[in-house]
Formats: sequence, C-alpha cells, structure tokens
Amino acid sequence: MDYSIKNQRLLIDGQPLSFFSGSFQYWRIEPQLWGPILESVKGMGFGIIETYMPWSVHEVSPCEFDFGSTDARLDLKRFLDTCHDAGVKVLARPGPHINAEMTYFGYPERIFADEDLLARCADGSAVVLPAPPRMFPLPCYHHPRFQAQVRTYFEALAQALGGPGAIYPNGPIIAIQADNECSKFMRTNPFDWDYSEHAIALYRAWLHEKYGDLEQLNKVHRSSHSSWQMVDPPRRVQASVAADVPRLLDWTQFGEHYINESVRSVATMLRDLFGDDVPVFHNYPVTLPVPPLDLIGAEEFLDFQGIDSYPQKTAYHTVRAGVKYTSAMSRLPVMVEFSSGSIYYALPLTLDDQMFTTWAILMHGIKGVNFYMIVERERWYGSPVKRDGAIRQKHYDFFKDLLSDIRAWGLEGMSCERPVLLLANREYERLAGAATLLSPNSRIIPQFAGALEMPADILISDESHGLSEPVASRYARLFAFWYWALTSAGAHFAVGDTSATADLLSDYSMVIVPTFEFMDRAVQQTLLDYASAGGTLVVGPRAPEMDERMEPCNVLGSLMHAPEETRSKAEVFGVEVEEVVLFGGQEDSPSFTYRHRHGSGWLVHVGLVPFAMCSALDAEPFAPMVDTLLRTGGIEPFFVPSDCNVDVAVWRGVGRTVLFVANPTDEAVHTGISHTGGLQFEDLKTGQSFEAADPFEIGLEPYTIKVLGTKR
Amino acid sequence: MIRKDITIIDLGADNWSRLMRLPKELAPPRDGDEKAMPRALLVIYRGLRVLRAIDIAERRTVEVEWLGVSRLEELSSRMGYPLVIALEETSLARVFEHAQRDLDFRDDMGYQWAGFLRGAAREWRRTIFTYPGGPSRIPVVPFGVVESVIRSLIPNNSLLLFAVTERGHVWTSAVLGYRDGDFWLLTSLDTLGMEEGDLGGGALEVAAESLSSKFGGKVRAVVVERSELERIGRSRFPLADLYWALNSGDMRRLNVPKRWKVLMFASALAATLKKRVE
Repeated sequence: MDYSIKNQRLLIDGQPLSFFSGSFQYWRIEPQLWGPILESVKGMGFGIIETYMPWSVHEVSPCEFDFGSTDARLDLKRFLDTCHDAGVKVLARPGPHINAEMTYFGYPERIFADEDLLARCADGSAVVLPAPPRMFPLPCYHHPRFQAQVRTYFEALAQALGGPGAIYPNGPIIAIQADNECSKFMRTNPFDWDYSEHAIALYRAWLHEKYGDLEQLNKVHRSSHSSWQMVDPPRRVQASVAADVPRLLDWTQFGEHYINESVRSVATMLRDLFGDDVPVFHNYPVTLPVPPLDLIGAEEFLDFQGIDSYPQKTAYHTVRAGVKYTSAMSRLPVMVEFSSGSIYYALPLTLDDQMFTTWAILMHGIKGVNFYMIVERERWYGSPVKRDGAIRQKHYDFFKDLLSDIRAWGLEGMSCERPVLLLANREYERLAGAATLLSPNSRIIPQFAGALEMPADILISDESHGLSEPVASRYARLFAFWYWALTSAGAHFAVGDTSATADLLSDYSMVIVPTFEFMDRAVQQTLLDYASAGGTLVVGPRAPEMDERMEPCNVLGSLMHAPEETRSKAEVFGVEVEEVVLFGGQEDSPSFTYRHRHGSGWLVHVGLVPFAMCSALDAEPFAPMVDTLLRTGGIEPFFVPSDCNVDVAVWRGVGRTVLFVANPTDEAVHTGISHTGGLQFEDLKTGQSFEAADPFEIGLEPYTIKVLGTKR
Repeated sequence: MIRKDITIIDLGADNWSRLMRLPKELAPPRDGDEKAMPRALLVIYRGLRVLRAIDIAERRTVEVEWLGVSRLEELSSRMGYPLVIALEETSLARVFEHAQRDLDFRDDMGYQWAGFLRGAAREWRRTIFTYPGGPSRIPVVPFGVVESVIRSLIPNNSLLLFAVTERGHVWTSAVLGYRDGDFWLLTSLDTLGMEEGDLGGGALEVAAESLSSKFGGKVRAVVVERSELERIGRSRFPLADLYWALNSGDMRRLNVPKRWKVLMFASALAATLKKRVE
C-alpha cells in the first residue's frame, strides 16, 4: 500500500482520503456494542475512527498484558477486526502518554514508583502534573529504562495485533500516532524542568553536536569548561550583557530538541514494530505551536502533525491564529483532537460552540478533523453517540450535515488563498519563553485563557537581558500588532515562523517578520533570498546587527537604513505607540516606513514599536497602512469586509470560489464585502443569492459563519 | 475522599452544561457599578524592581512606582487599588517545589491539593504579600479533619441525588456515590435515560430505586424547582424561603438525614444574617 501526502491531503494508493474521524475508546464500551456503534458513526458520514490503546489498561501486572484473554473489553484485535469488517479505517494512538481523562494518563503506576525514571525540576523535585483525579510525577522520556519499558509494551501490542498485518489494507490502521501532546505537559518554561541526569546528558550531547568542540562552546557561552561533563544548564534567567543571551537561547532551544527526541524515540519503536509504510504522526495540545514546539523540525521524522483544540466560540481568534499557523506549516494540517462534547470538569461546550468553531477551523485551512469524542464514554459528556449506543439527535444531525456539506461543496479539494505570511521569529519567541514570568507558567499556558484577546506581553518580563531594549516583550506586542492590523485590514494571511523553508516562503507574495538587534544568520539569508527572488519582505523596527551568537552580522542590516530620529510615546494614525522610528529618504518629510528594491523583490522597513493591542478594533487605524503595504507588494486587496470585526476567507477550486464569512462577535452585524471579480455568490446552505455588486451586503447573526459559493 | 478510579458516567449533554452554569445563574443580578470586578493590582517583582504590574480586572499592564513589599498600603492608596497582590518572581515555582517534594501519586487528590496550600502557606509573607495584609499565617486545616467532617455528614453507602426541575421535569441533576470514606461515582439521571424526565408523582421514588439497584447504596435526594432555587438564592431572607420550600413541597426530600436539615437551616440562617448585615 502506498501512502503519500500531496496538496495537504493524505493519499492511499493515489486516492485522496476524506480525513474526518471520530474518537471511540473500545475499552470503555461493552464489546457487543462495538458493531452497532460503528454503524451509527458511519451513519454520520465518518469513514475513520480514532482510538487510544492505553498501556496502563492492558498491563495487568508488570510487563504482563491482557489483550482480551481475560477481559473482553480489552480485546483490541477483535475491535480492530470489527472496524475492518465494517469498512472503518483507524487512527491508532498507543501512547505511551494518552491522557484520555484517565487517572495517570495511561502510564502504569509502577513507572512513578521508580524515582530514578522521573523528570526533575531545577531544585531536584519530581515534576508533578496537577491533573484530577490524581496528580502524578512525570517520567523522563530520555531515560533508557523508561524507553525499554515503553518498548516492552509496544512489542506486546504489536504481537497482539499482528504487527504490520494490522495496517491497511490487511487491517484497518491507516496511521499511528507517536506519543500524545508531547509538550512537557505545557510546563514549557525552560527553567522549570527537565534537569534530570539523562536530560542533562542529552543537553550536553546536543551542544556537542551544535558546536563541535568545547572551545567554540566556551567562546559563545563565555564559559571555561574543561570537559563536556562540566557543562551545566542555566537554572534561571541570568543575562546582564548581550553575550550572555546565547547560553539562555541554547537552553531554551534545547527544549525543542528534548521534545522532538522524545517523539522520535517513540516513533522509531513504532516503525520498527509496525513497518515503515504506515504514516506516523503527532499532535500538539495548543493552537499556536510556538517554541519549544517545532513542527518543521519534527517533520524530519514524522509524516504529519496536527493540533488539538477545545474552544468556546468566544476563543475564535486564538483558534484562528493556531489554524492559520498549522495550515501554513504542517504537511497535512489536521485537528487531531477537536471538541465533540466536553470533559467532565471543563466549562461545557454547547452545540452552538461546536457549530461555530468547527466551521471556523475549516474556514482557516484545517484539512482533516478527528472529533474527540464522537462516542461518549466514562469521564466525557455531550457526544452524538452515547455510551449505550443511543443517539443524541441534535448533535448527530449536526455532524451528518457537516460532512455531507463539506463533500457536496467540494471543500476538501480546494485551497485557501492567502498571499501574505506573518512569521513568528523563533529566536525572540525563545527569549520570550525564557522571560515568561511566574514559572511554571509558560508561553503556551495562556493560550487556554484566550491569549490573543489579552495583551501579548502581559506575563513577559520587560527586562532587556543585556540587549539594548526589552526585545522579548516588544516582540510579543509587535507580533500581536501585525496579527490585528492584518485582520482589521481584511488581509488574507497565514501565520508561520522563521523555521519556514525557502520553498514554503516562495508560496507567498509578502512575508512580514519582526526584527530586532539580533537574528539568526541563516534565517536572515533565507529571507533575503526570498526578496531577491521577487517576494516583498517586511521587516523592522530594528535592523539586525548581530547573529544568534551575538557576533556581528549585517546580512539584513546592511540593506536597512539607520534611523534619522526615534520618538517615544508618539502618535501614529491617532494611536499612541511606544516608539516610532523615522527614516529620511525619498519623501519630503521623514517617514516611519520606506522600501527599496532588492533583486526582483522589495524590502520594506516599518519602524513601529506598538503598545499592546488585543482586537481588530484596536488596530483599525492601521488598516489603511496595511492596505498600502499590500499594494506595494503587488497584492490587490480582495473580498475585504467593511466591518473590521468580520472575517473572510477565500477558497479556490477548479472552476469555483467559496467565501467563508464569519462574525466572531456577540452582536449581529451587517457588512459590505468589496468585490471586483464580477462573480455572483449564493449561500450554499440556504441558496440565498447575492448581487454581483461591489460591495455586496451580507448580514450575520452573532457567532455564525456563512459559506458562499460562486453560482454555477 | 475521592477514589482514584472514580467512575464518571452519563452526565448528559444539556444536563451537565446546565449544572456547570448553575452557580452563575444563581448569582444575584448586579447592575451598574456593582457589575465591575473589584479593582486589584498584581505586582510581580524581584527585589526593588518591578517585572510586571497588571490590573487584574482590566487585564492590562500598568506602570507603578514600586516602594517594596513593606509599603503596599501606600501603593494601594496612590494607585487607587483596594487590593494589591505582590508576588516575588519565583513564588509560584517555590509553591510548586514545596508541593512536589511532599507529593505522593498514591495520595488522595484532596491531600495532594492541600500540599499546594501548604506550599502557599510557607511562602506567605516570604514571597507572597497582599494589601490588606491578611492573617500572619495561613491556617491549613489538616486533611484528616476534612475527611472526618465529610464522614460525619454523609452516611456510608449513600447515593446523593440532587436534581433541579422545571415544572416537575428534570432540568439538571447530579448523583454522587459515597462509600467507605470515598466518593466513587459521579453520574446524573441521564444514566436512567431521564435527562429531562418527569420526576412528578412517584417518579422520584422509582428513579431512586433504579439508581439503587444499578449502583447499590441508599439514595438520599433533594429535588427542587428551578424557580424556587433561584428564589432562595436571591432572597433577602433565604431562611424563610427555605422553610417555605420545604413545607410547600417545592423542595422534595428522600431519605435526607436530620443532620442535613440542620445544615440546610444553619446555612440559610447564616445567609440571612449576612444579607441583613449588608
């Protein structure tokens, strides 16, 4: 069987798979109900189910496993056969971490009893995850004995399932997930953990690989180690001059390696046991996978990656940003877990939340979704199929209509048109991670509280760490500024980060990236090459003068003007900004922006340091500036809503254009949408026609999305 | 107190959503200025340096002239925040470290959480400061005392059913199983297919019998009309309304121990006195 990924779709033997799946946890359901429930799931239009395969449930005593010999609910082979017979494909998620709202998240208790296997905080205490109904210490995935224990479970699992024989078409499994939500359990503050023996050994090996010899490391870290064994990670933020920063950034960047190596070790075991042919994937527990999560790095050893999200409808922008990121950066952008129902202790998600947020993720580029949970079970409520097989009709009908509409409208074969790419700068993200206040709070935890609707710098220190300004907090504000300014201007944009390859950048007409006094040398070169090749590169407010090792580097800086004047707390378009940098040049009066040709593209420098912005309305005065910027890059704004709170996404397919128009507010809106193409649209759900006027008018109820298609 | 493998099943969809929103629904309506959260300032500091000051209600950063933790009162009056919380930058990490050092994964969840409370108590007035200052020490009630109180209040092998009805039909419900000192079950009337079922006539007794035969134990139920619950919650005289509800049949009881009645009256009395003081 040949698996491949093309145009962000999974192909099996060249045929695109409709990647819509639902979670069904066999060990929590009576076996006699498996078949009837699968039929109900198929009745909604799902051709795939997803299931965890919990280590702690199958391990009945240390290294002894039950796959149905004593408890029929654990007969995984029978469950997979039932799926196969029903024509249902399976996404397998064997862990070792699974969460699944289980006590101890699927790890056997004996793992925690072995103190040697545990990850450690900076003070040496075991790292605890405060999760109900029991908190537990976290294992270190780099401990050889932990890896051996995991392998023992996987070997038993593979033997029970017949190894590669369980893979489609011999069995129902079409993809396997390596571990789950590997993110240091969201405690990603670099000075929180892991300081265990094996983690530090991995850190030293990583530094060795990166720097080659100790002399080079000592030079960059300003240290005097006589052997690699002497190298110790920093335990708190300590930087009084710029030259101290590389050591901080290295430890922070090591967090990315730590996570990726954890997933890689699990993925390697699974490939050994189930064969190289089956796609192996992973998922992240946040919507915007900032460092230490590293999608591009992980795609070296994974086939695809997705994100998980359980949003209320009010968290629209947090989810939107994450989906914009994943759909730009992932080979196959999927929601590996997207809410269908709720966990027992979380705020309930209503069917209204479900309807709005599901269309929202599809609107912004998600190409496949696994709805977690499509079949209700212990510690979960509100799914369309109940634990006893009964149907929850309103929910059931929603999913049935959803899948039917997606297929009827041909959305799976279309792609989202976005000429602009906003890049998160990974170095500054790392610095922001290190500067995050109140550890174990981390850069990614606030995402659960709707981070984008809060000031981006609210829990980032304003310290400069030896640099000439507080780069971490200013960067966070600037990134949020660009997000909201592009949104308020109705620009169609994706989000990525500076790990993006040249190939990926070349898909966009304009790339916007915040720049401060230091920046990775290779990234600067990649961006410059992008502009040379015809792209429009928007940078600023500062011209980078140093590389990631704080050594002089003027790859970009040599092409950028020195400021003529810098004004603090100045007004721009009637909005007070923290700083505006003025450049002399072509115009009569100094301006905070200028552009010049580079190769066959443009380099645009914008000298703004904004205060915190938290909504499209905050950034609305900058919409005309963005509009001019887009035109500078040869981008004619299209389908722009007159109400800056309204969001439009444009999808193109063969002979068809589809518009998604969203109202993510709690008030009804009536907006015009600019339109120059002479196309006539109809509401795909109701058939209501819209005049081919410019602009055409549309009304939307609170938290609703309309899908309009060109009239055939 | 909470069994490690507590069974949580059949919570319903609308049922559980309504239950989780119930506290908000019962909160007395506020208008005008009352609606705003009280102004509070969070200062994250290192020595004599402020790393971040946050207006908690407005979720925005503010600039403060920091005078150190010994002069929070002055900061409060200058900035106009009736509540100031000052956290040393490592305070949260220290609380976690205290808790983590003591924590055993086999311990009860309540005891585990108490570890964090003990950690906070240890950092109180070392790295955690407030204005108004609060007590000199945070009293941490021993977990054993909490367990004993619960044991004395809940008869062993009970199924505690709480339901809110609307014109006799279930609007929301929760069932808690308690056995041998542990809560072992959390479910709702959805487990009997009664997510919005009629509890009128003898249906409550039938439901209780079904629950009992399904899970074991004696059902002890309190069923109240939604309008009545709101009335009690928002009443100026909760005691009188509770008394009325119990006697009018708007609040139905099944196998309710006397100690619960005493507790209900005591809490209604306390609420009444509190409202009279206000």
